[in-house]
Amino acid sequence: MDWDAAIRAELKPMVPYAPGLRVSEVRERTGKQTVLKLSSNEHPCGPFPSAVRAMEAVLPRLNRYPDGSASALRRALCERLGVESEHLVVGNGSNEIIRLIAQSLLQPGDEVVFAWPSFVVYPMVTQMFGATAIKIPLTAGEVHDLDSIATAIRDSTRIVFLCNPNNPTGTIYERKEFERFLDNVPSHVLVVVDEAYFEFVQAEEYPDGRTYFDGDRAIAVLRTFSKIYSLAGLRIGYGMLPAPLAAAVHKVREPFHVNTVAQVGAYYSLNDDSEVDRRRKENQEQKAYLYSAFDRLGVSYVPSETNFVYVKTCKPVEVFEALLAEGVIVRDFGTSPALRVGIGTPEDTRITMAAFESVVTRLGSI
Amino acid sequence: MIIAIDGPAASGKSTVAKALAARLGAHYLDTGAMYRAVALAALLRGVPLSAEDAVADLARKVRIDFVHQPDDPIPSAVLLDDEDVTYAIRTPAVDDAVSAVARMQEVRSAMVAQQRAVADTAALLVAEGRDIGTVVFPDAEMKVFLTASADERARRRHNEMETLGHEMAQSEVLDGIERRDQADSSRESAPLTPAADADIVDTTNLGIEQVVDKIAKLAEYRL
Repeated sequence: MDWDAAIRAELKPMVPYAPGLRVSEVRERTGKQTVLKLSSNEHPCGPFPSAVRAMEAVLPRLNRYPDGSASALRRALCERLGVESEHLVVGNGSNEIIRLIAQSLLQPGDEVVFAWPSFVVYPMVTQMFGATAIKIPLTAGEVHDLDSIATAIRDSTRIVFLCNPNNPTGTIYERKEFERFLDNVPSHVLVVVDEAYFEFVQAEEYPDGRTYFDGDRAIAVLRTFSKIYSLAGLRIGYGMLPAPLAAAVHKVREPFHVNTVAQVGAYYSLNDDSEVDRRRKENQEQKAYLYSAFDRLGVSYVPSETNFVYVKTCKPVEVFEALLAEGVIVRDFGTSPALRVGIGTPEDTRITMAAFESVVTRLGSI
Repeated sequence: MIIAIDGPAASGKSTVAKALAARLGAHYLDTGAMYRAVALAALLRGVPLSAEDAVADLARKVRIDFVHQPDDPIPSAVLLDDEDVTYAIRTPAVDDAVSAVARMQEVRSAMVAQQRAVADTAALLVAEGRDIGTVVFPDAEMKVFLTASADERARRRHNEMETLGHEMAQSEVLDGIERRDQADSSRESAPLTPAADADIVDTTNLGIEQVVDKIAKLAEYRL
């Protein structure tokens, strides 16, 4: 077999997704027993208790295939969001829905526009289907430059991905800018608003993607159970899509793409909004503590609307390694002058603050 | 053969160079776009602008290509390592970064080498950019230095930004232009000065066509 010729040419320049270090690896490397993983924006607590009970209850029935149309979960989500079921798609993580949308729309020669840095999956799905990525740099304040993104749209543009709040910077674009942007987007372009961190947002001016979704406009809004609902290990997310796109996605998805445990876990996570509020507030509190520590230590950071903070540093490699030596795993971006630090429990915050304090003492200003 | 057009920010270099290239059937070399591509590469790949060595390294490694449609002197696209960056290099983020990048001596050396290589492939090339006639193509057959008052240049840049959909007060634009003039003429590496053998053309009260007419007429004698 001539593998070089056999494997699609588009895949050649692609690099597989590299996840952050695992806790066990770091334990081995540093000899530290207490290792804190703050590199994947996971929630520090387990899933909601009612979800855990329901998932345990379903385990003896896993001999059966899942409900292929996830009907109960989709019904619950439709009711909650006030959309028709023809618009509601669930996926094996919102990540899967991103790929399914790309798979439904993209052909070689098409273009996809998104900000950079942003979620790494956007360039991956773009390349995967032979389309071309147009990356628009964030502004100096690490915010989406929606005007420039609109300017970059042309006839060959199929999709614009907007991550709001943005991963890895934690910043949002505001309602006024978004509305001006939507006015400028031609109708042949799908705007995908990825709201993975929606539930953490507190800013008044945040444009809730749902309020712009009317079924007609070419806009898709994606959310996930991986973050505030603590179901990252299950892989489940959902999206509101224009009906024809949702129909196309149902054609390209696997028959049983969302497993039974995930459907049940997600369903039973939806009836505890007070826990969501509590988690949002606690995240905000811990973030404020972290900010004050950063201010005191002279660590530069970008204020965040999410459960992570983008720390700016001119010594990313040294700081990453020094934090690792303290048993704290953060996300690095190669030589990019920044690190992404997840927010955890009050105890996690205490450990993070102490780790940064010791790193700053050791390295001088970072 | 090379026509080198130089001048301060918003003096009309790129507009005039493009129109002139079209008039003369020449290829147009956008050197500013090349620096912008390097600045963009640094922003997108997270290379801090304070790390001069790393940016210079990037400037040497990246491949910048111009795509020409047949018979069109104006490149239709700018590619950075095969990625289309035609729009991305015109964003405010790049506007903010490009001056710092263009000040770096090693980046300039890397770009000069690439620009000369492009020139070798064109029969007639109109090149524009800061220090194009003094440093990049000191042996250009013809050199033009465009000038215009700071107020007039601020007005032009403001119009250009409005067309691109970026909102900014004209006074703010003027501030930016004056700051950039200051930075450009006081920088150590290739400061902004007309070449000794350049024709100086003041465009303050001239339209594009009039400026092109003037240069085309001069070209009849020079080329």
